[in-house]
Amino acid sequence: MFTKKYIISICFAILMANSSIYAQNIAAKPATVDSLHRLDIAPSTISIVGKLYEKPNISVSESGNLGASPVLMIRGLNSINLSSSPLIYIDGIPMRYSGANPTFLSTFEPDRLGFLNPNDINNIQVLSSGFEMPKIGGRGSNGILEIHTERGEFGGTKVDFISNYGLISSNLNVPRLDAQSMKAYLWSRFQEEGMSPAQLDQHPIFSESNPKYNFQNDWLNMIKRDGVFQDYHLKLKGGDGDANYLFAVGYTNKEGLIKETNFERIGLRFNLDYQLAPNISIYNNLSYTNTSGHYKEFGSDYNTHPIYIASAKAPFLGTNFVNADGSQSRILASVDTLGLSNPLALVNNLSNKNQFNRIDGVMGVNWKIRGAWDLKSDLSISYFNLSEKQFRPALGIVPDLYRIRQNSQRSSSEFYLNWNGILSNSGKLSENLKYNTSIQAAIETYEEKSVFGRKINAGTDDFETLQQGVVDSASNTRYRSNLMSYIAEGILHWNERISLNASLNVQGSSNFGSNSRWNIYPGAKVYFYILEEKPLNKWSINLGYNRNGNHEVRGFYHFNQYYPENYFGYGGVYFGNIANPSLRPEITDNYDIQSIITPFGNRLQLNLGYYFKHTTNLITHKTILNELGLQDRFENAGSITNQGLELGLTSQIIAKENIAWNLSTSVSTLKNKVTSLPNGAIEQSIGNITGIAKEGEQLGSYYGYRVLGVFQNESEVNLKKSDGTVYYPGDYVIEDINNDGIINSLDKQIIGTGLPKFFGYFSTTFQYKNFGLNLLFNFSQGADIYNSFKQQMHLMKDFANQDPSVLNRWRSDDETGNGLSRAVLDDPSNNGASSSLWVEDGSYLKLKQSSLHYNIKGKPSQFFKNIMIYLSADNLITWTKYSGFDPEVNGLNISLLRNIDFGAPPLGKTFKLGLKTSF
Amino acid sequence: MKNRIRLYTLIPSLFFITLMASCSSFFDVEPYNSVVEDNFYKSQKDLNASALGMYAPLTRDVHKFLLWGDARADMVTTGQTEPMPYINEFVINNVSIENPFADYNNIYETIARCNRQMEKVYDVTNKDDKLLPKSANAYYAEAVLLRAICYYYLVRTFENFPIIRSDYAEEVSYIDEKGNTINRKTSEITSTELRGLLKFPKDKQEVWRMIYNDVLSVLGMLPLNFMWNNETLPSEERYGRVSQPTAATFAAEIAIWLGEYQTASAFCNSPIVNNQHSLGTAGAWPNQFTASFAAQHSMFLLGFRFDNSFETNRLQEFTSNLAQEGGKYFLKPSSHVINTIFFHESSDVRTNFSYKVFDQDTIIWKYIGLDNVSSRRPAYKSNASWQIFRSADAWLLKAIADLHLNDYASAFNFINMIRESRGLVKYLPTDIDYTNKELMLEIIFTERAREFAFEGKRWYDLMLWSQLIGKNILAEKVASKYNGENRNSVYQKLLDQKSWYLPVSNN
Repeated sequence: MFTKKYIISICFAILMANSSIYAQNIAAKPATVDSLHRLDIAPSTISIVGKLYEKPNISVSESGNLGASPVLMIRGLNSINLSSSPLIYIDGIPMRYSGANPTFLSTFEPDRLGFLNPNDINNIQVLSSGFEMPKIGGRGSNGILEIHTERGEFGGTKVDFISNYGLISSNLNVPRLDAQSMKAYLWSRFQEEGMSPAQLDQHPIFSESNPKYNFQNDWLNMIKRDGVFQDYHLKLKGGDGDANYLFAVGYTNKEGLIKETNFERIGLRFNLDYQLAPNISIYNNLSYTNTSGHYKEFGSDYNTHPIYIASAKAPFLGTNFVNADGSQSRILASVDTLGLSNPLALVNNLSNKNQFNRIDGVMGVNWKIRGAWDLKSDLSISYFNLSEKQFRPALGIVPDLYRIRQNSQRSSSEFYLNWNGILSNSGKLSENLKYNTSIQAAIETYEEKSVFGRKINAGTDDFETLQQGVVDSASNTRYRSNLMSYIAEGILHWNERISLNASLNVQGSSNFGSNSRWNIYPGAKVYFYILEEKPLNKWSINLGYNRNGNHEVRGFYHFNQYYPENYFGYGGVYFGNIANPSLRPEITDNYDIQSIITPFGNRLQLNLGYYFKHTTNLITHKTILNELGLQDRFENAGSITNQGLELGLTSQIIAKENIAWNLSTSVSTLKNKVTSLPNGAIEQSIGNITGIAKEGEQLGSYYGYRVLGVFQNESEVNLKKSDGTVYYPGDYVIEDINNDGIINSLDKQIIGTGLPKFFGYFSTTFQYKNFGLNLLFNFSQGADIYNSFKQQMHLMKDFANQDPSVLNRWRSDDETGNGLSRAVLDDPSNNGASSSLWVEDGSYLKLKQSSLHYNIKGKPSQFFKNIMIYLSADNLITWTKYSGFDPEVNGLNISLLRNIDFGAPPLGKTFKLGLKTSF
Repeated sequence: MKNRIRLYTLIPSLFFITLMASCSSFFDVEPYNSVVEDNFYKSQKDLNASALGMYAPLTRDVHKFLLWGDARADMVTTGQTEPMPYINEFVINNVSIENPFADYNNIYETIARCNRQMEKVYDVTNKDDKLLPKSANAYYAEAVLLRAICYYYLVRTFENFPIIRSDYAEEVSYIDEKGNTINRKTSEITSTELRGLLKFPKDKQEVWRMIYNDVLSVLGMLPLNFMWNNETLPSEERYGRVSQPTAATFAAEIAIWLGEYQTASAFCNSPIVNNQHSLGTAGAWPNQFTASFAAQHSMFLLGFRFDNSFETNRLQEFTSNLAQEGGKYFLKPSSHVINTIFFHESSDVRTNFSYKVFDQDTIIWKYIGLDNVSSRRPAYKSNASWQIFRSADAWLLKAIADLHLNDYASAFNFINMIRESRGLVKYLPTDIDYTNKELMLEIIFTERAREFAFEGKRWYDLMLWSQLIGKNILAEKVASKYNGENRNSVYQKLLDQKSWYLPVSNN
């Protein structure tokens, strides 16, 4: 393995060995290392997010919860109540990274980028601030992912066929009691709950002859599997003088580590560039994708969480109903006497499906009008439909309140219509002063609709549709938003020494009232080419400022609004929103400074930057006196800062014909702080875990109790519950912050923080003749994880199977155990409250991707041009102290609820064999 | 040259397009799932819908009403062996300011909705010319009466609370130090400043008077036969909304609290002679709880429709002993007190139905049972109605009023009417010294305890009882629930009337 020391010494070696390295011309944009020798294979992640692991300044976190949206973060978190994920542009079509509808399952947010086949992608740019895309204006405060798909190239038709086949595996082990020790545990638990020895003796669970209670089942083993990954992609590319085209069709199928979870995608894309006249070219994109996914509850609803239930299910119980004669019936066992579902029913019968259909179309024109005048205009249309479905039968699954069976369906769609016109010009003002300038107008209209229906308690488990049962819930929503932007941009170059870029975006949004609809988003950046002029520059510095916003406010809070609320079955209405006509977008000011050193041309580039982001006007609930009896009202109040250093290094250490070696690394630090919240701290919860935004603290810190130990005996108990009754020996000792001897909500404190202190990647590519080796490491340091799954395995509030350490719980003054509380049914002392016990350090270093490839060049006589065979392994090794499945935790894309581990399956090791053939 | 012309035509046309868009209603997008101000309060139907909306916040609080009125009093204790702290705070009469069950937010939400309704009712008469003036009055009266009921809950439960009698959602008007009336936008006033502007009553009496005046002023405006705009209300709405008999019964009770027995007695006549209300039959009595209402018996209740609407409350969770139906068994009847209140010598339907004993568990049956034997509500289908006034209230209030008017025979008679209709034998004048006021009050309040057991009334009855005889009966009765040293400490604490009220958290 590469040690830190080793890496540093290599860097030095490169810096010193200048004699052998010659300068080359570099482009104006920061150069990236020549990708000639890079193997750009699609990752085994289904979406292009897998490619972001190797991008600087973006933090990515994905779990094995197949089809769930990975959590992304560019330059910190800037919002509490609005989106904190970057905005995506795919060939100019904007897309929100996270959906607006509430999640169908507790934490499962469908990956909205899943429709994009990584093989179709030409490049992805991570734009840290809206400066690089002035048009973004009020949506850019969380950064941008700009994605371009591949296009045709001049030359004869080239056919690329890619096929990948892989296996995904993980040991996915949860420490838990075996059949015998669980019986012993239950025996002692029943005793503690007051069962007499006679009752215990009679209890059928402990009978050695009762066939119902004498199985030896490894439930976890029954629901897990090794997944298969398949990916096939066919690409036709070509063009002549007038028309270039790309036609691609792809199919991807990935199976999850838990049975009956998978993701499937089929898509096609047709991109055309056409030269209409010498000075007019048009381009068209058309793509259609269909994806479907089967997924499970891997979130906070532990009652249907297959991994949890399989871990918590008593191993001595059987999978199927046991007949009177002791034989196993063909019918699955129903909910057991201990109150748990049948894991097999959860996996095989409870189904969650979703299906995306997306069509994108772009038509654009580039017109070189005259001289340096250019006109570009494009019109794009995008339609996105997501249908989600859950079928929850009765057999073997605990009812959800009064819902014994349920069928739910939701269909939601999004429609974008987007027009852009940009007129640009460039020229010289004087001999030393060149300029580029443009004006732009953009109009966008967006509509989102959703229909939801749920029927419950159909007659049998056979109806997987909404045909039978009682309507439990039905709703529909619609949201429309119109956006208009006028943008002016200009660049002045002075002697290839100084460039000044400036832009101004005036943007109006229908999300706000007429007083505050129009907002101005300026930006400016100045580049100083200090050592050598721009083309041969060795050291440059740039200073930038820009303003962006966050305007995804959907409640139309500038109107007085009346909402429906039922009373006694009749439709009531109440006055729920008092208009706030002055509500504005959240505003983020971004300041950055960056130094770029390229001493040896594109052989080495060292970037060092610092950014400071200040977000103000946070949209928060205004504190209203309870006595006014009003619902919350939103207002602009509060601010957050994010700052960090961004360090990047890319180098070509060896670049010879037969041998090449590249290195690339990036480290970003992050310091996030809520600087003001005039309306007080904001809490959000999922399960029993609370994230808080509090002045002076990091956004999304975990808020709970600090556990100091366990009361060993009655004489040690010095704390009271809120009602003034004393705790019991065996309860957790909670830090009494206000020293009043009583533990209540006032004793909650920050027990951990979910954001990394620094994160980044390190990658290296080595090539010798036809062999190539790629390694990619990712790291994240300083983020805590709230391990909810582990807490669940130590809760002891029911008769579920638990972690073996519960055998060492506090049991009496003589058996005080090893730090776990006493066990009591329903946990009356609230020992299961969210506490510091379950906060762990989530730092990790991961060998994210490693691959070995071999290239065969086709001879002119052969039918192929090139064949590349490769073997790759994803997530091969993880170095971490974290005790859960994987320190890469995929929470929700909600800034207050990040890095909470509900026991979603890990990404798993993926071994892949691939073939890329070019004809 | 040609290109230049094209350019000059193109740029303006480009901006023309965008300009066109901005001139039209490009930015006028209205919300889809709500109604904006301009489109609401236009017709009688809107009024009716917002009237129904006024009740909704209270339905979220019925479990709190049970805690406030019963968990603190003598007939209820905790069911769990290790009780949940915030519930236990009520049972042991030590409610802290952090207790989430001790907040009055939902009550104030109803007050705000009532105030809004009152503000808007007469605007609608201008827009909907089909709206009859008497119907507009009725909607106005409904809001006033419901608001009065809210203050009636507040005045008996909380130590200190502000009086809000107009719609403060958008504008607050107040009189400043110089005596000028100031109107200011609510959004521009900080909550601390606003708190300073709110009017806090100087004593409980002031609130009682205010409630009394409100009820009296609208009594005549409420429809007698559930007619709003010549439309008859469906039966559920009749009982789920306030009515004139509700107002009369309510007025009678306030009059008793205020010591105006003559008026109290007179007000009781209204429901008593009304043919929609009677003591009904013992057989139908449990229907008030097993069904969402019972004709004759029911007067005003907070209802929950489960079918198609899935409205539920938390009463099943609070009182059921079965985990599989969502029961947490927070509260159960306190056994020794129960034994002194309920009689088993004859077939009193209330004794049979109000609570049940299964195995070792004594449970409050009113919110769980579906019949008088052992059928229970299905799991998580907690839709028992919460009774605020029932016909029986009028009869027992009449007895209290007449007793204080020294009309002993009438008081005695009204007690016997209740007893007889519930399946008990009448008291004979020879059994009881019915001219002994103190004894008669004990009999009446015991009768009320049987009639209204676990309906959140006991604590307030003990307050009233203490007030009527000028002796701290409350402390005595409540203390008897506890054992050991608790008994004396709670007794000592409750001797101070201030400890009868819940503290208010100021956030």
